[in-house]
Amino acid sequence: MVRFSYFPGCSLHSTAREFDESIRAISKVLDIELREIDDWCCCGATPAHALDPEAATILGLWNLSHAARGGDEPVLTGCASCFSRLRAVREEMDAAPSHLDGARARLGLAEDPRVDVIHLAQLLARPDIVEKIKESLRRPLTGLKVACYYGCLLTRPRGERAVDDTEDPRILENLVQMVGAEAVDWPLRLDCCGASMAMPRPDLVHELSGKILMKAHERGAQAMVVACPLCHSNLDFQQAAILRERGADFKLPVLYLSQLVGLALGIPAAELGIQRHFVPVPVDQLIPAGEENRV
Amino acid sequence: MSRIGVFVCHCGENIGRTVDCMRVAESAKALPGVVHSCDYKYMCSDPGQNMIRQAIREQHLDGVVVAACSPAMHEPTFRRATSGEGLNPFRCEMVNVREHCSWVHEDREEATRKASDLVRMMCEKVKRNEDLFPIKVKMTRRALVIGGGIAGIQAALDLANSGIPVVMVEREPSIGGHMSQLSETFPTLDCSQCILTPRMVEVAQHPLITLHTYSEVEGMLGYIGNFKVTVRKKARSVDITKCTGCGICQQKCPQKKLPSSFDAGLGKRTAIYIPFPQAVPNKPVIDRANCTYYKNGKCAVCKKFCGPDAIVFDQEDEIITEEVGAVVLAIGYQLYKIGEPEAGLRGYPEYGGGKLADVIDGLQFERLASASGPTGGEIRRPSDGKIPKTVVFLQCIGSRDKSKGMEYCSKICCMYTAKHALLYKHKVHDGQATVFYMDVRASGKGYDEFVRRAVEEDEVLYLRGRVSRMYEDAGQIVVSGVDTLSSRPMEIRADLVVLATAIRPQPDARKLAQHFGVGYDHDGFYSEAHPKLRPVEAAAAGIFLAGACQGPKDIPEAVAQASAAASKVQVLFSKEILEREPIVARVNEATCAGCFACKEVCAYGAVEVFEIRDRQGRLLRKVARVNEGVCNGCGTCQATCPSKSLELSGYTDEQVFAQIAALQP
Repeated sequence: MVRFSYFPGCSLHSTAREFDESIRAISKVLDIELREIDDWCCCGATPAHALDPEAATILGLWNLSHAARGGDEPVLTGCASCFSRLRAVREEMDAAPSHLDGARARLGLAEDPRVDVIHLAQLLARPDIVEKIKESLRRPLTGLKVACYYGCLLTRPRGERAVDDTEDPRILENLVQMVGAEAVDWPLRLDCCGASMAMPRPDLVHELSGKILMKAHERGAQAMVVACPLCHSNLDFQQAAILRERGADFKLPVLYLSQLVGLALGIPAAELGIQRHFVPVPVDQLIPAGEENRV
Repeated sequence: MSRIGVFVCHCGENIGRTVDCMRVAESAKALPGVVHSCDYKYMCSDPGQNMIRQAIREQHLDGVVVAACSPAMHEPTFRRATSGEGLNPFRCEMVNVREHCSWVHEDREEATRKASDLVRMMCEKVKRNEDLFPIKVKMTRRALVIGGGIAGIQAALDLANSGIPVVMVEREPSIGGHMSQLSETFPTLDCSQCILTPRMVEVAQHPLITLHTYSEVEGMLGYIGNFKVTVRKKARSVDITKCTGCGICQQKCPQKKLPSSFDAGLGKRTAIYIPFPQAVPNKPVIDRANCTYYKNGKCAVCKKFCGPDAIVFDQEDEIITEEVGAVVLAIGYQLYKIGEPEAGLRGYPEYGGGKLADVIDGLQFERLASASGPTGGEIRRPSDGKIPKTVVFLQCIGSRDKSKGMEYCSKICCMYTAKHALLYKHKVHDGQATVFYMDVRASGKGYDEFVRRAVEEDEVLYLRGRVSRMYEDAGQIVVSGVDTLSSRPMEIRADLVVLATAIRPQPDARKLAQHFGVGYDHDGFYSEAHPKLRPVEAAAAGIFLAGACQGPKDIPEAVAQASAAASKVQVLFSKEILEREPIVARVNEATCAGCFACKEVCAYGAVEVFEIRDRQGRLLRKVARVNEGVCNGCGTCQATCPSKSLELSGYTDEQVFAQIAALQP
């Protein structure tokens, strides 16, 4: 049993419920105990850190200090954006920028909550968890061609403790291969999906995410795997509209990495929230039948 | 009682503006042992020097203290003046009241007090100075040049033409270096081969040059004037005294598909090969790793066809020793590889990590553009041999990028990229050449004009910005980047991409430097003794630097530096006997305990083990001895010696402690 403080973040409690559900589902199979951080708040993503670095640090410190209060286990996140923010604040504790003191004072903290922050992809690449996944494979995704899409935040902040190399990450590809699927070779896996521009500039998102979807399809992908709710929203929720504009008539299911692993572990699709996607995921057409692994 | 003269220089206003020189001279008069003290506007000038000489003569001085600029600037001047009056020059010392006082302080009062303190300290030292005499070392007046590229060739020819015998060692089967691979050279566009190959022939035919190609330096012993260098002459498997260079072996060799390193991997060669038709010597070598005969004992086709029977399969490496008095290191550079970077550097997976066939480097483009290249000078891309209609050139690949591990500017890329783009436009008139740059550094003679010509006459499109990603798509390379002047993202579908990759030191540059006691910077480029005043000398005596091994350089600079290195060797060899400054360590053998801690710390290998024996030859004990020819007078041994048995002449403990004691009020 490995234990983590779990930081779901806003998306995983709302638009990306299926990410949360699938993380919890695979955790049960893989013997991972998640303790949701008590009274967590916004991670400090886009609006805060774009406008007010101190505010972003305060939010991050709030969450990490609440995590630390519950125990010194590392904080686990699924959302790439939450990960990036919390990790950035964790690194600020070493770099000690001037606003950190102010942020600590505002929260009345005597010292920095030096808990580690890791992303789900890192956890699933840990040797012990890899062993566990291999043991628990019930429905290997044999023959499924997957486009791994990293987006921008998963590999940031960069540096020695990054999830993976910023320019040439392999962590998702390795995961895809581990569960028996095939990672397609395609060039746009690190490009921007348009992120939160979906609100003010949907045309931008249509162009950027459109390129990504078209290229993945062109290179033979039958599904795409992502680690970010915002990427998922742009590539899944917006997909029909984007492809209609481009006159393309395919559908590319977009899965969270936890859903991909969950399917391979034999967890029923409904328990992984797969029915919640806008682009339907024809699981039984995509992957061969296997043993069910109901927890 | 000492009779010291103190001379305080104003250095025009340089010192006088901040230091009250008159007061410094006045205060020195009161120091014990000082019998004369004065100040003057320019002490280094003729009247200034005469003041010193006159004082020595009239006051019978036995010590001279000149408070002026840096000893690196004028110590020889004042010591010459001193010895001119028959006083041992090492009884003259300088106090640096310019760099150490007036240039670094603002408060006149404090600067003046500090200058007086420094003068007082130096007077205490000079009281304890002794007569020292230059060390005389015999010399082998013969030079070794390592590297047969343009820098090595230039240095060797300059030396040989002035009558100095030269040994040249080149690792490759032919001399010529990278310059022999180039098509045309900026900014005049003369053909590289046409200006280089006659020089190569001159080297081979020069009666004073001994040429060892396909050879590597393996070790070095000795010191300035007296080096013994071990050279491994690798087995060519060809007896070059018999070989006529007819080339039939190459024609008949069945192993024809090996990548030619001369063609930067774009052309093919055979297992027995002459690297290029103009090679010097024009004799083949067998690449044993890829030769069928060496792999399975069969074939030997070359031997069958060789008329003069020059193929010697069982030839062995030969180790020879060359005795020389000076060494010129001219080992050149290599290009950074984006796919397989050296340890400590990062590659460019975002540019395909070296796996995209139509993303090439500058040397590969040179081979494509060269009349002697694999395409006969036509620009054809490697993947399918098509003539590219859109070519994108990227500058600063690796260079000036801390995150890739190289902070320095590779210096030549702005110019060769402009040249590449221009050559491409001259060969493919309807083609589009685009250059992504950070800023264009074209500061040589005729250089900026050349870049402007590429832009204005040949319509090369220069975009300021970086490329973030490159990938292959439908037979083209998609280059996505940004034009930072118009703040627009750019996406160009290119047929060919040329990367101006960073200049790197040779892979074994560090190892060679260690053989010769030469320093190098953290990138591995060799360090000069002084970045401004001694740019072609290594800190180790008798070792000189030429070309890109010291830092990125273009041809004119490499040639200039090579000629400078050659002239430094000529200066060294201009005397029969080598005189060295006597600032060397001396061992008191009576107290030396033979622990050899000094030998451990000596960076120059100057400490030797000396065996003291009685008349019957029985070993009594071992003590340290300093080879005066090798010692650089750094003083590390002196600081290390636990029994205080080592003293640096001119900087003895007694002298240094007296200086420090003089500082106390």
